[in-house]
Amino acid sequence: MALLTENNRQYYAGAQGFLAKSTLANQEFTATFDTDLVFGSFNPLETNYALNNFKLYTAAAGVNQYTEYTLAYTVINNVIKITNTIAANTSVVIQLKSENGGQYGNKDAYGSAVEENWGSYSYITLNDIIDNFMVGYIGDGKLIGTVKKSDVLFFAKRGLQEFSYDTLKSIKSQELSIPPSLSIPMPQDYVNYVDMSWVDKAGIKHIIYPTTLTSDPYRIPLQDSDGIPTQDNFGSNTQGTSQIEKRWNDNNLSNLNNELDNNSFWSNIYGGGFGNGFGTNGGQYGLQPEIAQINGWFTINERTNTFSFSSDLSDKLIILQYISDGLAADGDTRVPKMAEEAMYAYLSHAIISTRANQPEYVVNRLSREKTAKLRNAKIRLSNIKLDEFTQIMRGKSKWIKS
Amino acid sequence: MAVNINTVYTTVLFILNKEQRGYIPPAEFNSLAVQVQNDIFESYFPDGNQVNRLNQSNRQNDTEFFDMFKNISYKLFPFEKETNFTYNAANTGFIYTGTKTIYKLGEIVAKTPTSQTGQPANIESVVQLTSKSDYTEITKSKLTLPTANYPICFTTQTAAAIAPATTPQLLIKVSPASATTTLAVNCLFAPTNPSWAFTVGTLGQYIYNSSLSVDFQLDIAEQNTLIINILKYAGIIIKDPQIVQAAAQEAQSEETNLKS
Repeated sequence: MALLTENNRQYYAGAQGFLAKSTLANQEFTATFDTDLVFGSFNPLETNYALNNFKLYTAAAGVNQYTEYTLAYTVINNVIKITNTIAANTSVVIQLKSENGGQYGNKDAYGSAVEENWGSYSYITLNDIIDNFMVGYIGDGKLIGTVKKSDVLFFAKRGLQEFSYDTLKSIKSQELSIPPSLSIPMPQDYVNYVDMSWVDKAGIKHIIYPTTLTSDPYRIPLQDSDGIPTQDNFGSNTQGTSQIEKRWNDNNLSNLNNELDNNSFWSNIYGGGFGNGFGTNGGQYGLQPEIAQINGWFTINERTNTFSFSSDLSDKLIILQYISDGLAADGDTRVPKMAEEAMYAYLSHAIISTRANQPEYVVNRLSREKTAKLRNAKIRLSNIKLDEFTQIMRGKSKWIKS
Repeated sequence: MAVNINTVYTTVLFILNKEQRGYIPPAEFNSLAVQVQNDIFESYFPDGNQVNRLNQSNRQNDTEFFDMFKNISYKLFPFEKETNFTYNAANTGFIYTGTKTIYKLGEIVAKTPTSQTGQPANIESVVQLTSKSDYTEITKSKLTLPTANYPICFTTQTAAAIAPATTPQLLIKVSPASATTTLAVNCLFAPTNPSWAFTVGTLGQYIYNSSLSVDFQLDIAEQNTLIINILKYAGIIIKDPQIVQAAAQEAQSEETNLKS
């Protein structure tokens, strides 16, 4: 059986059409999209109407003029049942919500259901992985005779987490503006950052680096005159406001990385400043590559769980690319098909290696298999194309001028 | 196809009477029939387990009719039926409301309702049957927390008898589930008792009454085993060691042949 179950119209336009066969009430129309219909209400005046991921349109027989159908209907198991009588040969169209609003009625079926389905063929859901694994790898006469499904679920989710950290594509990113407070909260599903860049007017990214020049304190206990932390009525240390963060925020960063300000306090103390050191007077240490850039810095404030930026990035547009663990939302729990086999190998190894009395040679074999397939998956997902690689390598003969 | 009780009874009587060894009246025969049917039914499980070792070690044959594990599994079909359990709000679990006696629970499938606001389509999932302790452990882990796609359950009993039952009955606690969840369980039911019913003829003889009789539920392939085993017990009743020995030898030979 072919794996594609949608026709071209369903996939590209997000639409499926039907013809009412007779003039009857309670006629049913079964949607066969890959995307399940989400139904809140048929009535646009109700709040739950916004939950729908589709709109329903009808057109009278022989008329190519579609209008949205807002009378009573129900949706159960992807079957739309229209309560009222509709005439024979009425055209009925289910339009999944799309960023362009679709092609029917007022073309206002705005949403992202169609776009979310595009490209979905390159992925396999975690549920499918688990079902396939149970069919193909578990049973009498196989290496794993029996296993609890909850164990497979556990290892599959752990596998997806591990794969998300270093094998799968980092597709999570957020476009943000840096507020005057110079701090933005970590994304809800944040695990670690990949990179952070501010974007100029031409849309070009300029990478922002983390800095070791300053640190955000985790605790800021207020002290008495003897330096002893003071406590509140509940016996906990009272916390104050960080002076370090204030000084960093108030700092004129041109002192750190602007070569034109060499005579400042900073450059006198540190000799050549923190910047690129060009043309500085009395530079003692020369250039420090780690800070030789003018894009600004960020720190991760573990106390407030925010990213804190240097003051020169205020109001800047940034893009934060980060990795999650693939389990934050249902839509995330999918694995690229390029890594499907690696996931099966991971599951086999995880199950066998945690069992008692398994021959060590089998565990070792599965371990090697897992590693080899993971390596394959990484190579595949790193997306190295020969043409692109060749193009990059054409620069290898450039002269590096000093 | 079930085994006709009259065929078994007449065959048993024929063998017993051939040399005027004795006679088994219907009441005794019915008791023996129940006993032997239960014996054979119970033997399927250890036998199936034993024969399945061939599957586990990849030594089972792949023929159409000589795969012993498949043959034993097939013999369970008269007792196997998918049955809907009903949600009981007072016990927050599912109970069986039928009249048969459940012998074992097989695959449990839960169907999560579809009409919840904003939820996608109906979700049909296999429910994992666990022990109570596993249930607690699995529920505590965020990675294995039961969902509509991966529900789990454990068995216990109702707090009190639910009519028409007179004693507390089997209760399946499923997570997640609600009153609108439907639960279909592939159950093995205990065999119904066979009975050779009769009317008394003009000469005082017993006349077989097919409409009131209950046949053996066992598969037709068990007819021979039934007769031999009933003869074995009958031999004990009529105190004829020859019958017991011959029947026991025959039964043993059949079993050895099956499992080797």
